[in-house]
Amino acid sequence: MTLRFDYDYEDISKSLNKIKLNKNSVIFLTSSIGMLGHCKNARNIDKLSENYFQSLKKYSQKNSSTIIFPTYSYNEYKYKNIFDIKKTSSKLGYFSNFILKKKGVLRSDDPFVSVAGFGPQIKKIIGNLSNQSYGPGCLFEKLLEFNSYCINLGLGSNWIPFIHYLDYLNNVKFRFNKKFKIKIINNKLHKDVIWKYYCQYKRIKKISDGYKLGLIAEKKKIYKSINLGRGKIFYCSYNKLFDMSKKMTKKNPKLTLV
Amino acid sequence: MDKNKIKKKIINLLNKRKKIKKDTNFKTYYYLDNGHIDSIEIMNFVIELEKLFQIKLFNKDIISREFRSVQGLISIVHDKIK
Repeated sequence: MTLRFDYDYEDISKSLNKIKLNKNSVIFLTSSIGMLGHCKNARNIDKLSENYFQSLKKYSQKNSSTIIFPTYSYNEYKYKNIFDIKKTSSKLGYFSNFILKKKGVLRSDDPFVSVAGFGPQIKKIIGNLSNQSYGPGCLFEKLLEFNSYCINLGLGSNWIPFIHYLDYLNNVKFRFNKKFKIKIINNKLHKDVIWKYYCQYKRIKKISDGYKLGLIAEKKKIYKSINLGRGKIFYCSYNKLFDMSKKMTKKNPKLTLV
Repeated sequence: MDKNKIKKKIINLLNKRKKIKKDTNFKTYYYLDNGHIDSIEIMNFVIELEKLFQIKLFNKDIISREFRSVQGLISIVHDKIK
């Protein structure tokens, strides 16, 4: 069977370079690279992931930007409430776990929604976060202090990193703060913490997502997109998207609920 | 092709990757969010769907909310082949 290729390795950098960011930016990068089609010279999943990792590294160096990737593990009791920064895998697919294995990549110590990344400001971003995933001092709040951007590789405008932080700010009726006793392991350092996670009530059968907010952001031209392969890269200013979303969800806190 | 036939074929494609539990409610089963197909395998799944139903899936279809659930995917395919 002859495989038709949708793009090649160079196309990744060409597309990324069309996204003009200020120097020293912070990028919250989400991906579903399979959505972009078949990449030439990527014989297997590892090679495909390596292509993306190298292209993103080059992009980060060029812009002196810091890139962080979600490596959420959604800690549950089945893991005996242990979060090992080096060993707990991400539940967000192959590429996020590939990133975790790379040299020079640092991971935050959030047992539920950790992020990992590289670049000049990585220590500043993932260090000294509070013991709650969505609340004062959490990552999603901290990103507002930086010149931050969202880049969605292969995913649509619906992937909104701070969506549950907004739920927290809006004090929505379908979520509540729950405390978890968790052991966080970082090499030889072990610490027991009480961690707050903003859980959804089990009786609420609906799911929450960012499709409505994403579409509004596209209409308002906050989200822009460029083509890559058979898909798109969506990108926007984190702060602009946050301000718009905060305004919209203040009027209607159920906007994120489907 | 009616929606039941489409459903059977889609479930076969998903079962090839991972068995779906018998008591699954397809109206609320978000196969992508549940990790039934990961972000890299998705490209093969899309190509198989296109071949099987002789349709073309565009980016707007693939990134839509409908595409994430079995019920939604049935509707997308049904709209394209009717």
